[in-house]
Amino acid sequence: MSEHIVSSYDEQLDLINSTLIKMGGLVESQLHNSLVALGDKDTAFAEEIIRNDNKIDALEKEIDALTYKVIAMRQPLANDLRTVLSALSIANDLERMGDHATNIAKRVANVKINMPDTPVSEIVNMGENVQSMIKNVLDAFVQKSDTLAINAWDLDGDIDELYLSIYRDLLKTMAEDPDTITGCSHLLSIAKNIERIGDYVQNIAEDIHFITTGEALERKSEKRIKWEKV
Amino acid sequence: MTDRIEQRINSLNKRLNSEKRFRIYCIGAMSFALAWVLILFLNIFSSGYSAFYRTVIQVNVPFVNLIEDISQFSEMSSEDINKLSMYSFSKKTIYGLFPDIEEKKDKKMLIRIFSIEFEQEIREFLKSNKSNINETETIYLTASDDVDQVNKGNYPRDLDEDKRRIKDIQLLFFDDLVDRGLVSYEFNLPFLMRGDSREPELAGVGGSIVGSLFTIMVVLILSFPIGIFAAIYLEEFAPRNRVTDFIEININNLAAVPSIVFGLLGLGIILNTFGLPRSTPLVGGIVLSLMTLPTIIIATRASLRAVPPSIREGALAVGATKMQAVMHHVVPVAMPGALTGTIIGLAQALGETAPLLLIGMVAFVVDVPQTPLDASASLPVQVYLWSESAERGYVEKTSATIMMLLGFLILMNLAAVLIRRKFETKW
Amino acid sequence: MKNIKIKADNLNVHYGDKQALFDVSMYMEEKQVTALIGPSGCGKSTFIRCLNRMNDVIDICKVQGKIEIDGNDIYAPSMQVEQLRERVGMVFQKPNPFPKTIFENVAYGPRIHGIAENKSDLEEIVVNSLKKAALFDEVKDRLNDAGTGLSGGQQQRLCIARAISVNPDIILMDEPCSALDPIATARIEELMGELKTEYTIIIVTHSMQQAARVSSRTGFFHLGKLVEVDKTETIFSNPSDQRTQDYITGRFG
Repeated sequence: MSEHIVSSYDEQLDLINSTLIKMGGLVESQLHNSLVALGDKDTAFAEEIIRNDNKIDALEKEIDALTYKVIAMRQPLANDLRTVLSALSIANDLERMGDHATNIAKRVANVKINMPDTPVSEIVNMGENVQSMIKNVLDAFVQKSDTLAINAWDLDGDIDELYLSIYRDLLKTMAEDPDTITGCSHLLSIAKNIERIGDYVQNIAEDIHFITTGEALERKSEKRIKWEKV
Repeated sequence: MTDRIEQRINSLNKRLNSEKRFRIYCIGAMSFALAWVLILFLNIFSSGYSAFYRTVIQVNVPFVNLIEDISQFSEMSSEDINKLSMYSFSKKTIYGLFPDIEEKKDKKMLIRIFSIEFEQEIREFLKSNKSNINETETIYLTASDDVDQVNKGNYPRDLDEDKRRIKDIQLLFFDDLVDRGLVSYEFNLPFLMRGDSREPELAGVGGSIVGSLFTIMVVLILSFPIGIFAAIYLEEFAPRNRVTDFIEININNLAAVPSIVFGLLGLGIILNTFGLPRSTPLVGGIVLSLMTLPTIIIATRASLRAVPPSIREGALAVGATKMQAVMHHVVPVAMPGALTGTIIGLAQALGETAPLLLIGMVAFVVDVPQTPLDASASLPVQVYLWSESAERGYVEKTSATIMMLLGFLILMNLAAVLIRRKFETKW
Repeated sequence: MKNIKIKADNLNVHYGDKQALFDVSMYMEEKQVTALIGPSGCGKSTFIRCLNRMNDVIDICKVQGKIEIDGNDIYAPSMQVEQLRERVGMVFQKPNPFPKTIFENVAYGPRIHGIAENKSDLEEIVVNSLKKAALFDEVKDRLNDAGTGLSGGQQQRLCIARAISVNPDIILMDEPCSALDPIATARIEELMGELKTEYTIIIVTHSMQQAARVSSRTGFFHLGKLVEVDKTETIFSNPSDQRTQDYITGRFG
């Protein structure tokens, strides 16, 4: 893609891109850290993660301001318009993802909760899958690659399957040992948060598809959560 | 650092100073030119203004001596009065100024103080006042041109008698009349009304004024329409090719041709081949039209070119034909410029002498012409004719004619400026 | 899709030896605004001037190909160019009212075409045209003042009224707002919205945003070729040709 005649326009767009990538990186590490805190039952680490959420919110505000500026100054058209509007949408998605990662850390920070180990490791495994989804979608964004975006989109199907099996296991554990109900409820919540993060990654993949092709992504997931099988 | 600033200030001062010097040179040049113009005008004015008044001598005319019953005059017609024999009566009236002189020689000198037409003047007075004439009337008779010049102080009185025209005894008579208070000045209306004459005191510029007027009229009628329409065609409608380029070059060259060449053309073709009457404003007008045409065409074309093409396009876009666009929109806008060019061309034609001399408008014409087909002179030609004469009386008349010519030219140029200012549209 | 009002087929235009338009074919819909965009010298002004044969005025201009309006070839020998211009009006980049009164400016066209039967007819036409051009209220008390004494925006609306006065079907506008300030421009754009219900409008513009605002179809010209023509939303959100995208995003001029 050639450069704009006005170079400061390109600089502004580059700044938006780099801020988004920075924000995505932060979200990725927040998720990673909250999974580590969950595995190690490290409440102190969890508190730190909660505090870091500010940074993600600050970056979202920065991206808002940058996009408003570009729209007012440059009246972008065609692919530039799609890029800028999608940047707003993606920043929003990333912020929500950050909130969900923080929610996980919030539950871990609560010392009184006793969570059983087996489900925890399954959840961490699911979380690591989502983490690699985030990485893939960020790569797709950096390379503006439709193919990578669609791959990342498809991965959410696996996440949904994992969530279903964790859900079943936790129900079984709770049925077998009522003492674990409190802990397992929190785990259910944590798993849900992780699953939601995966959905948001799908949104981001759809935005990337729109930026590159100009069309909305029409795709059906073959893997749906079959609630009746629970 | 301060060195550089000083340098810059110095160079600035140099520029300002050279600008001041330049301005001084320009003003100097302008003043020099204006000074010469002023000298020219003052020179002409000082020698010409005296032509507008003339010396008259008051005489008592006892008409009762001519016909005892003065009431008879009112019943007489002009022809009857013309038939009256008044020569000796007039002479006796003049002798009455100096009743004591006896010698015939002296009496002849006395008569010569007056204009040669003294009898005619008395007759004219009678004709115009025949219905209420008194027994004795006071008439102001025109003095001869020598006396006129003496009165105006232009005559060298101290020359030996045989070296001048006016004789000592005439001077005595004159001084005596002056002492008696009978010599006075009168506005010289006949100068403006009458034609040329052998007698300077009777010569008038009226004939040439009318001749010039007729000539200019002919020029206007011929050159204005032809020039304007030719320019419109050449500028708007003619195709741009070799032929039209050739025409344009020729028109530009014609404007620079010496005017005497047009005179030769007039002599050769208009007078000899076509056989039109010589010395007439008609022929003079035709010759001068040929001269003025290039000026008008060039000025009109320049005005047409100055009209912005956006006006043409606007008219065409609304569905006007080329002719409508040009005549309704372009020409009205170009008209002030075309008119200015025309008036300037006419002003030039007014002052042309050489071609008119060649076609014979140099004749000595006494009568004021009535139509453009009567022989006449024109103002500049009149200047030429009078400047060749010996009598002193013609000097002031020549300058006066130049003054009038200049006056007309200034008026015409002023008209050109005013017309342009009034009608110029701004867009 | 609305009816096709103007259709250009394989239009090739030469100025002497230099070719200005190469094989341009496009159609323009009735009672719609069609915008023509492109960098300087791309041929869009040449194209629009072919539609009312204003290029006939230029001697060295040669037009080959066909332009049909309502199915009639406008370059046919039987077509009277004055009648064509009665049906296809034009508004120019720099407002060019005649150096006459406001009334005369608008009355000239109807007068030379013999549209008005009598004086009151003519007055009615003038008043209606001025009203349609959204100028009447501002000038109704000074119809006998000079047209050149109006402001730039008013002069342009006067030129629009002049174009409308002969009751054309089509109005061509060659960068009508480029000499006007933003408020005058907005007024003219508003006027275009009203006029398009009655007239077919073709506008050449340098402003992408203006083309996006006022037109329903847009054609992009580049180096004498028609690169792309499509619905306006498509051109400005997702054009098919890379050259179009580069031009409208400011990646080349």
